[in-house]
Amino acid sequence: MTKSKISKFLEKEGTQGWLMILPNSLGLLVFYLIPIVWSIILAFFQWNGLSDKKFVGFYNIVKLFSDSSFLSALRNTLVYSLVVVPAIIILVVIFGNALANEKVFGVEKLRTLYFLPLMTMPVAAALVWKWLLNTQYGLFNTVLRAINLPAIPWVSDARFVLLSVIFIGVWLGVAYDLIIIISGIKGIPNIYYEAAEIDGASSIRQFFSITLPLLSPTIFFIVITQLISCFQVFDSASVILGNAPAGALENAAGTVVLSIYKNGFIFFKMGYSSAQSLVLFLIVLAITAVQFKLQKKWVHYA
Amino acid sequence: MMKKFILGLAVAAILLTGNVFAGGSSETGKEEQVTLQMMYWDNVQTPVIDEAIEIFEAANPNITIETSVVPWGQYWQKLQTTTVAGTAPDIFWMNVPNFPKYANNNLLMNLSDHIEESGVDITKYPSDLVAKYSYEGSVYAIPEQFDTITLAYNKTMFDEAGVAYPDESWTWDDLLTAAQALTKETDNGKQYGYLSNFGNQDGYYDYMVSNGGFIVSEDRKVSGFDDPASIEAVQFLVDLIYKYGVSPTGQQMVEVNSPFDLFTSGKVAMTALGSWYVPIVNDSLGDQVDFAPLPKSPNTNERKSIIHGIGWTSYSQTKYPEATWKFLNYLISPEFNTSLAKSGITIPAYEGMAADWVNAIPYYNLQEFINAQEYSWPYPVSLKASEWTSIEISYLKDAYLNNMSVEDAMTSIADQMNEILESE
Repeated sequence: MTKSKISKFLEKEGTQGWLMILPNSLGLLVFYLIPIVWSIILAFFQWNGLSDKKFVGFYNIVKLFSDSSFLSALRNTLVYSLVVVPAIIILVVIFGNALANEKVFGVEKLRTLYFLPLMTMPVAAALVWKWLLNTQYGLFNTVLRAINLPAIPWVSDARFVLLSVIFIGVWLGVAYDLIIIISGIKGIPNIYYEAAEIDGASSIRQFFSITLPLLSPTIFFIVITQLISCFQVFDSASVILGNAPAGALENAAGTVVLSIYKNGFIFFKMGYSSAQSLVLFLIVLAITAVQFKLQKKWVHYA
Repeated sequence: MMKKFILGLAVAAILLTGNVFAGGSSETGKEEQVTLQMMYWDNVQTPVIDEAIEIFEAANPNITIETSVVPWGQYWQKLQTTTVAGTAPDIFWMNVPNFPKYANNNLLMNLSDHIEESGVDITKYPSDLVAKYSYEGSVYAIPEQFDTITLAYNKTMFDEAGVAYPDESWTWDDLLTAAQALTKETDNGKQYGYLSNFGNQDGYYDYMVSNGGFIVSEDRKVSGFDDPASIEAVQFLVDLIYKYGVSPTGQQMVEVNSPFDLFTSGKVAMTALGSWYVPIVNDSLGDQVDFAPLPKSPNTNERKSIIHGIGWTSYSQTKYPEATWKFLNYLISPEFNTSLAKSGITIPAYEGMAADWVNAIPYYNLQEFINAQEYSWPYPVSLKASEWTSIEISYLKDAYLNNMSVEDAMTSIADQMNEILESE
């Protein structure tokens, strides 16, 4: 190549664009795309990680639907997601409206406080919650006992353990989504409220007729991202259930990703574990696709 | 410009593929610098191991040892993924249930030739453990230490309650009577007589075999979990919790990081305890504690203590087999075993070294752990042992949490375990 050809090649917009995203794409390729394709392939094999792989077709996937521990993990994950996502949306819309108002006393400090959980590693947060929820020594039960109520085994009784995991999920999720919702509220032009006030609309009416519809794109974004992360919940459930999730407790609060981990890295059933992640991926994909279809009915882009 | 681009690509390629150029050459020159990776799980042993590395490196300036202590919870996952990826450490710890899988897949270095060449006297190591670490007639791991189980008791609590200390005449009935006398309400919550822990080697295995039951048959074909004697033993342990109320409940045990925290924090007076736990008990309770033999089963009038031992082994794909053996040979030497013994951390495997360990903590009757060898029972194993041990805990956790009857749990374990054994 002559010099002018090289510089022409480099000056082409496309080339420069590719060069600029090269570092990031390499990471994406090595740490995401290749493993994704590899795990899809593995879903059709039986492999313990050491011996030779054995092709088994759809055996792993068919087996999943008669595996009670996977089905309970799927049920728990669904319950978790269906409770956590709406709870987060309701909480962030309420808190967001309060915290978007600059007139609220100490609002900046309050925002920092609400944002703090995000600064904590989910595992560390879950460990602290596990102590707070401890039957004998935990703060929650100390309070319950002080008002003469019986202590509740939050993290060691199958009836309550999923509730505890949900609680931690909401606590962690609110932190991040609150920031997004506040910026969403602040993006609503003031003129709408001024006009509504002149028309004599109450603040409740303003909230339902202006804030909520104009926030719907933000809420939609939160629903999509939060639902995906809910389906992938792992850290908090893993900490609450301990090193060897087993028995009734696992049945009550084990999640799909926990099951993927357990089959893959405790039982070393790599193929079976990959089949589970493939199924999880398809479920999340389907739900997200449906949501994008449904958004036309309730999301208003201003 | 293009040159820079190509150079950049080359740099990126090197960064991505890691140490292609580092340490690729073979062991030819005497002065070649070699770095060995070593992995184990018990941080309690770190001071002794680090000291050994210092001594070894001083004597072999061309060898550097890098250690990583991977906690038990991630150890096997890390070992399995790195052996598959070809990046496993050169030297690492092995245990009995995981050994068959690794040996069977040619992931461990055959040590027999090295043992012969270097004149290592393999008879100095517990023969049962050496047999467990052998595969098709060759030795693949050499025991570092062995561990047995005794009954640990809190003397202060016994004195307060005016109960006589446990001795070798004790049966399960005596254990129960004493535990009842030691269980009481205190200002700091309930104090319990016994910790009915749901561990296997330091829990139900010992009681199952003491009672005449078994875990896996000698031909490794049949599970012993539905054996009536096995069921009866586990029933006794669960009854200590829910029938007699002398042990913390399963719920209390799952809520703490390790059930033994309840013993080391002085909430429980007695527990079955493994010898590896002695340094931890010494740190927390000091001379308040002592050790007695496990109680005998009243049905067989016998006691059994499950014996297990960690082994040093090395990776079959190591780049430096000679250097690896050199270091491994040091780790199994009488010198290292002596310093292990004197530290009081664990019972060294080398013959005749146990006395030093017994004397390491003078106020403890550590001789009980050595005596336990006389009535020991080998840690159960089969090719897929790591699979059925996780099934065990899955059901027994429910039994210990009182969510499932012991009989149901034990028969379910036996059913699944028999399936696994059949597939071996």
